[in-house]
Amino acid sequence: MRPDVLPVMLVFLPFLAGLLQFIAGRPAPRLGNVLVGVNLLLVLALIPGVADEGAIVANLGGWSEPLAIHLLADGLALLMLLLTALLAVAVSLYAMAAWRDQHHDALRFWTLWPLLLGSLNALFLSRDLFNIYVTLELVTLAAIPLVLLAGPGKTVDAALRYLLFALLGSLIYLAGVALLYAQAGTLDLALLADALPDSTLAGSLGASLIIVGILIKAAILPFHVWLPAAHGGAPAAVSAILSALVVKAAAYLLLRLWSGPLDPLVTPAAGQLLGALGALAILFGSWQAFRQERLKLVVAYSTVAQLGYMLLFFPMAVTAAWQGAVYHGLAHGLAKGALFLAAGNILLYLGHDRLREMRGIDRPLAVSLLAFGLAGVSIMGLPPSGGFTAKWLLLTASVETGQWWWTITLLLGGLLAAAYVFRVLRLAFLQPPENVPDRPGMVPPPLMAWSATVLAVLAIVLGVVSAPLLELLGSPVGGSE
Amino acid sequence: MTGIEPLAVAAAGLMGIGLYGFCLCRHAVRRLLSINLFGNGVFLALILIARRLPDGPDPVPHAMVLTGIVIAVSATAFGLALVRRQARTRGDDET
Amino acid sequence: MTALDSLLALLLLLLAARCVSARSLLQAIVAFIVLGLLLALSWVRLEAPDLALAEAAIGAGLLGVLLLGTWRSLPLGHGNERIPLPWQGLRPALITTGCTVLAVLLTVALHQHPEQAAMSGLAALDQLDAAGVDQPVTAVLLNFRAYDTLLEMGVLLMALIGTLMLDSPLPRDTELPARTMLPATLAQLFLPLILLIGLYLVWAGAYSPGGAFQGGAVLAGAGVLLILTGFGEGDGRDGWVLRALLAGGALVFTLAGLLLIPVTGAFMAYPQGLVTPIMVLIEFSLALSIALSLLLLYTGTPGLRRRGER
Repeated sequence: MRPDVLPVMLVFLPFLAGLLQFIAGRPAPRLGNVLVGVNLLLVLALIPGVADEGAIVANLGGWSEPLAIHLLADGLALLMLLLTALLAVAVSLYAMAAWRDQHHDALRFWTLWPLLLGSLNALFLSRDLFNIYVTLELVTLAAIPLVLLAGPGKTVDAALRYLLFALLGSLIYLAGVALLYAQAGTLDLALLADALPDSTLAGSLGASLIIVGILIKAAILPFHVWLPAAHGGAPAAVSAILSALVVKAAAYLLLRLWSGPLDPLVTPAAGQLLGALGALAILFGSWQAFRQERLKLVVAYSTVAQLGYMLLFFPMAVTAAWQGAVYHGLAHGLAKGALFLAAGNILLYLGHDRLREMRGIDRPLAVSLLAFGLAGVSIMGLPPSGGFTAKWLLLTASVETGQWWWTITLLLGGLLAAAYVFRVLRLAFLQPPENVPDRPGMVPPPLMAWSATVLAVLAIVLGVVSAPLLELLGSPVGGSE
Repeated sequence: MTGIEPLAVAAAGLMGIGLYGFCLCRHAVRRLLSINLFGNGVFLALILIARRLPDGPDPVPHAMVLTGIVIAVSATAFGLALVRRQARTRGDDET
Repeated sequence: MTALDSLLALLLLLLAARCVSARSLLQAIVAFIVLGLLLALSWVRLEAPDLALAEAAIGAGLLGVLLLGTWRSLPLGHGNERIPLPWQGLRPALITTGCTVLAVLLTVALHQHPEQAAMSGLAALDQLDAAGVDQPVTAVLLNFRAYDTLLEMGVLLMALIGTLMLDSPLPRDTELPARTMLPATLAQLFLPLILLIGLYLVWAGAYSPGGAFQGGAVLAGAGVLLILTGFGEGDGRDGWVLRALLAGGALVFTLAGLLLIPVTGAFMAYPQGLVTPIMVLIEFSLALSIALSLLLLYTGTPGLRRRGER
């Protein structure tokens, strides 16, 4: 089989599955689970080709270079695809158990989820500015209905706010694309850097609009206001997808565009500014996470904070920072998936997620709490987890470039993360008061508990297998080294 | 440069006014309107950009506008459904 | 001619300002609709008649009907607000400054012309002969960049799924003047004509301005007319045929792309000789999906039925 069929399949098989599910009108969770399995196999099959040749390119339609849309699977895209595929398997198993008895919601989930999976794959593989706009919209419009699965009455405010910000963000992005097309005459990411004329106002303004649009989508401070309610209010499986993948996809685009087509347009000052936003997000998000009274909001604010680390690449722009930022994306994705699934289990058992009333759940929910704890290790950045590797790489970069202020940010962020993770765990392991409150919820079935734990274990394992993954990633295309 | 193109000013102005409305309006329908104003500005700009080709308008930005219109309208329609649902939920709460 | 352009530009800006600043939500919506029509007019002047058609039909027409319908479903006075003027406080002043700076920068940027003409556009016009259609925009949408259009159909479908999840159809007030304004005879007179125009637009997209989007929008408009005049209405149930038609646009694209890989050796490439028939098939299934999706986005229900049918 030709290798360039693989990326195409990664987009189209999920779409096909979603469309067929829509037409069938009856939930088919097995089909969904087969799909995510095939999706994982396809991603694994991509690895040798990318490792050998550096990148696999698929031309859609067979037209010549400046006109056709291409799919590009390079090291960066491949790692994000791999993260998506692993999470997809865990989330699908979890969802199969979670929506077993709800016909309506199950149908909607199994229609939207394959479509979202295909959209995410499409976004990671895209090599075209306008195509990225369409995939961003696809991802958003698949994600928001999924939020509504928690019950439209409860989540409609969060969904509406999410939609407003997402729409504005993508139109600002599109305005930037228009300006860049006017200057370069092409939308192909591979051709843009060369085609852009040097230092025109239109070029710089276009690049800025693109970056601001993506920042809104990625919920980077000060554009984070839509995130906590949406991610905290969605059903657990959906929260895991949103926090681990959907916002990450926007952050990924920033890395991809900055180090490639926008490279001639960006300045060190802009890099420092993005870094500062990232640092603020880390400190503010962690502090807010520490102050929340509801478990899912703790985890949601933790996402606001953790996304900030990925922005620390921009001020430093060396290979270690590049690797650290991407690796942080992977580690956070796995860990956050585990945290949200575990939080979902706690919510299922207690019927609520108020932290103060969580005492004494350690025995019935031992496996889920194990997942929460292990994932917390990676979020805090303790060895030997993936989060530790990522932070270590970022620390190395900050020493290498002499930008010591990021070292302080990293250390403070780790401390604050430890504070909010331990706060949750302490409350969970406290002995229950004398009069044990009546707990109507059910103990989550093993599938739901273990899918969270597997993700958490993967987040730890990520710290051990970093060498081959980082080799696959390589260095930033336009970076200084 | 051959003087000021009035419609380019309009495109830029639509985007500015749209952003202004988004920042200051509170009601969701008004925010949706503002977003669409911004989008209309972007579309107008793309059509202006399409005229820079020597023979005939450039079809690539034109295709981008068509795609953009359909996406904007479907997302706005979804937004309006959310607004109706929100109003209904609030109405139920009050009675 | 610049005088007319200047007038159009001025009117567009005034309407936009009105849309943002009007106290009554209804007035804001009306300003928005008029702005959409004027915008379409300006696009005709900018050599983009097919886009003008789409903007008038979808951007101003269908969206306008939806906005008005939503306004009617809100409690009276809901959404009426007076936004602060630029000098009433620090925040409005800052935002005004920021937006003005942005608009000025954008104006300057839109006046910067690069030395070379856009190479993608040139390539598109260059290879038009191989695309199977004569109309450049249709060629880009359905062939050169068909992948974008396929994904766009996905967006439309998911917006529809999301809307249906909310279960909040547009209010159908039975004794409202909306129907007296459009007497049934009028609809009967115009419907065949509208259907014909819609189908013609889809067909004509291959050769002259028009295409699946405009045709689909006009067909959806015919459906809206049917509902407004009381011939049809939204239904709470759907059937798999309807769902298949809704997904059909995206499905035909996907299948044509996947199944032809062994034949052409490339993805989403159509074999020589079969290009035109495949394009026509795609165009009609797209138009049908678009028309039905837009119509259901309007009614907010999963299905449709004739009035009075159970």
